Amino acid sequence: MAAPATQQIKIRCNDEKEFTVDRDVLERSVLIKNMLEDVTEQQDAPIPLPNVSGPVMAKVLEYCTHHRGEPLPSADTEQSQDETRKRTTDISEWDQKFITVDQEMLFEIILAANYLDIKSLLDVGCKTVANMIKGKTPEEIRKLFNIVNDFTPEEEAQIKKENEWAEDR
Amino acid sequence: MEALQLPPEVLHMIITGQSRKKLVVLRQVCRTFNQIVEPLLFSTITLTDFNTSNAPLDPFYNFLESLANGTTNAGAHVRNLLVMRVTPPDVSKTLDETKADGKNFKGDHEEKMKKWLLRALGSLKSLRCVSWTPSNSDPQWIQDCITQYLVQLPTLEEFNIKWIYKISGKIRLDQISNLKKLSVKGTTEIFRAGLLEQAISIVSNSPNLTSLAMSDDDYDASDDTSTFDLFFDVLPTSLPPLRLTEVISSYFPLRLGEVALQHVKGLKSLTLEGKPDEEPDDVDGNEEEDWEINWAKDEEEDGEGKGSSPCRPKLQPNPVLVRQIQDRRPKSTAFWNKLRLSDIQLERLHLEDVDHSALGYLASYNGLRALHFPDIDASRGAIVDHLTTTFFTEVLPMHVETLEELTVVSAYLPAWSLNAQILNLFAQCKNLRTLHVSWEPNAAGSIKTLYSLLDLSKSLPCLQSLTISFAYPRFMRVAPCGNPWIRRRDSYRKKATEIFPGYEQVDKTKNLYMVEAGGLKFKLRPSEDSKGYRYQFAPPKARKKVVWGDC
Repeated sequence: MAAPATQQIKIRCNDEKEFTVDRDVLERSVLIKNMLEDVTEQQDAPIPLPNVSGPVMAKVLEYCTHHRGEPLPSADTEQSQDETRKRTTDISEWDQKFITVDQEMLFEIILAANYLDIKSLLDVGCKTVANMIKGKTPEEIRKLFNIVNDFTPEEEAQIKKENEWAEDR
Repeated sequence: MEALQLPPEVLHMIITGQSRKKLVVLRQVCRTFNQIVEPLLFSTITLTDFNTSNAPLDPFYNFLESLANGTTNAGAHVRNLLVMRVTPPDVSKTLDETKADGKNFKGDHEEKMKKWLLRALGSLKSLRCVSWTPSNSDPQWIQDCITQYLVQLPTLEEFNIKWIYKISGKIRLDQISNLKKLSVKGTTEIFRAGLLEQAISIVSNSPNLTSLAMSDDDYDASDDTSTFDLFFDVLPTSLPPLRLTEVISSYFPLRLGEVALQHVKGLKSLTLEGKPDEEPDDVDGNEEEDWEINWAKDEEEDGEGKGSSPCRPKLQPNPVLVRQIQDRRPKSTAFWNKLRLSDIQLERLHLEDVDHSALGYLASYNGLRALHFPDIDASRGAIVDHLTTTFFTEVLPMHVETLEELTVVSAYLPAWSLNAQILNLFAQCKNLRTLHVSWEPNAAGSIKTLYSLLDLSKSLPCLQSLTISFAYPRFMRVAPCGNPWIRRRDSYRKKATEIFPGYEQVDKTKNLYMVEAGGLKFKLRPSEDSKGYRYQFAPPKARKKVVWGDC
């Protein structure tokens, strides 16, 4: 396929950082893809992305560039995708390396993927968090994510009681 | 940025799909987590044996008690309730010894228990679906309790009853009303003994019913009328027509009489489970010969073809022959003709009894979204190669634009297995989400075909699930009772080594293998079930699921 010279798109993050990116890379984001489809004329003004910072966007673009050209999953299959996620906790080697970042960055990437609507990246992020939780006690999870235990002792006792039945049902 | 600052839908994504074991841990972390976990953990509960005499030690008894006392929120999340084999301990035995009037005491106790259970069930405010398998070991008071509960349940939309055991007491379901979906499974005897009447009563009380499943467990082929037909025969004519969009019935063919027809005018989804037993005499001796001749041809081809032509020789259906075959199946022909003449254009079809008249119907319109032929076989009095040709040249092309789910599996017939021509057709089904096909390892060029399929699966944008079944080699077709696979397992393990270079066992305890196919590494997990051997493929990179199933 002899594609016409790849269109370059400018984006601007919330810290004024700007990127110029090939259109097909950027279109991994369903949000941007829809935006671009709505705009018919060539515009020079960068697309503002008020919810993403420069360093996070750099990371997201690294992901999009690596996965450019792969078919996009269809949008209307929410439920079966939950199914898919259930079965495969595997993350490919490249993605694994890519997502090995500190917790702060991991959550920022997940947030950005959610905002930009990049399903596969969101998936990788969620799976990574799920893997972090694996085999940990509630207390360890609280520590890991800096969560405060906000249950009353009675509630905690009730939950433990219910769990006895719910776990191995 | 912290975990709890993530939007709820993202937290939900992380938590959904965790095993129950992890869910019970997660809900202990904090309220936010618990709010997400509770609906997942308690969406379905099973009411089954609970031990009252062992109360403090029985977790399920405790759970029911929390429901009855209102000390748990779990009840609000329950959407599905399964009821099966509810056998609390016989209190009378221990009581008889201590109490002079043991019988009376038992009655009191039952009354108390009944109130307690009703209170527990009453706390399930979001219940939508109840599935009940009554058993003859259930005490009468439990059955009374459940019927009483069902009748008063305003939120109930779906009710499934599987009544296949003879029960000494009585179950009255007549008063159940306002259902959207009803599924009734019974035996011929139980249907006649009143289940049919009760089903009619429920249907009459449910003007918004859209889905009806009706099947008997012990269908008798010599009996001309299916339960489904019988149901419509006795349905009061005064009833306004039902607007059924989904019908599930066991055993083909339905008669679909005039009355039944007016209730299914808007039918979109049809499931016909199982196949009628046909007289062995029905199978024409000639067919067997035909079969053998084709097989010999295949052998020759295998020898010289060497992958160049994975397709079997193309046979054109002989119209005269097709008509002759179909004439032997008048009921089936009548059924499919009726659907066609009534302008009923199904969007979903699950059919085990595939024959020419079914294919003729499917070739008469566009718009099928889901088609499942899970078990095409040769005993249908049809020459199979003709069926295959009709399917791939006349049926599938009509629906390539719309198909989202497709299952074409035949355990015994290599003609239905993958080949280049079939793959081309699949490639046109751009909306496919699930695909289940059979593949014959012994066919010429089979490995090439397999790799093409894996390539194809990557190019179909919506595909999420690909399942590949082995077509049994032909010599395995004559399967006597029992399963020949049990004995042949070793040879198949060997076959797998030949098919996949680099097939190696990486984990003995889990019986896990790694293989390479189409440039991708796959995990291969052979597992055994009643039907023999199954491979499960988990491609590590692709988000698509590839499963290797048996036929």
